[in-house]
Amino acid sequence: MEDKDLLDKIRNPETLNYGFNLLVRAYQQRVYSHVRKMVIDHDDADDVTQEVFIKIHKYIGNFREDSQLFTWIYKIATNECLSFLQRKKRRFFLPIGDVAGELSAKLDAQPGLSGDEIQLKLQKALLQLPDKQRLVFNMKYYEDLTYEQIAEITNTSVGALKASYHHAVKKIEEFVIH
Amino acid sequence: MKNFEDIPKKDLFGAPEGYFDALSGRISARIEQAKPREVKTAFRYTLQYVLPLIIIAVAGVLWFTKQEVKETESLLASIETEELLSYLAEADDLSYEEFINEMNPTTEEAEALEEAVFELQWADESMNDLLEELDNQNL
Repeated sequence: MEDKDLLDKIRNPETLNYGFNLLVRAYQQRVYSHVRKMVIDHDDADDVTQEVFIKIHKYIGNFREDSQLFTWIYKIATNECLSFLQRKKRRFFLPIGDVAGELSAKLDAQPGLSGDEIQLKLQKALLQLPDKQRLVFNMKYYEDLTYEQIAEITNTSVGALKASYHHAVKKIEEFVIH
Repeated sequence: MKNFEDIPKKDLFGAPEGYFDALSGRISARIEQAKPREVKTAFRYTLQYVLPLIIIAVAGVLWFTKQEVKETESLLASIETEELLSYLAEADDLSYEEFINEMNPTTEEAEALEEAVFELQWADESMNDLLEELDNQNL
């Protein structure tokens, strides 16, 4: 279903719930994947993903269609990830390094990574990056978004994003290969 | 492996089986749970603000009504006995009914006056003095 049709259904009070369920089903996998790469743990990703869609439900009336629906949804998901990680640091008074250590320990527990040394190293290298740089890297490398799309989601210039991605790759190479 | 491009790209974070089938239902349930708070808020607002105002208004009406009764009683109590007697003395042929009509009290005042008169309890000696006085003045 086209985004326009989804929005029409959501804006009609009689079909609001139906339209919103269709939106969730259309975007849930991408949102979950985007969130999970950032927070690592499934239960945390589940909480954040639900919060993302609850916010979408609350603010969909404010969506002005001057950007794509997908971009608007990703913006909410990105902000929720960053807020979650900030709260995690504040709650436990952890500096960035310790949060990376905690997430690294969660990585060790992920069944999909066991036995795949290079992938585990790659993920641990990513955890050494600042949250925003890690977000940009994930969106470019894993989700194949264009710099223009990432610029709209993160409200950052294309030039700054290219520089950020380039530096992230260098750091990862240093950690994984050398 | 010499550089980053040599690392195979894998998406390693899969969701548990059945997760996405149930997710939309769980989200809808959470949204529904959040809604009744608005109704509770309206009900709570009524209890918290409107009900006390009603109670204060009723209490105010009762208080003012009581004040009016007290004022009537105070008015009657303020009439000196001598004044009442001298009035009665001047009114030779004044019956109780005529007296009442001349005073022209309201219904409430008349009832209150009658009640006040019947409630007067004079000592026997005072009553005898009054009767003698009345006799002397040929009432």
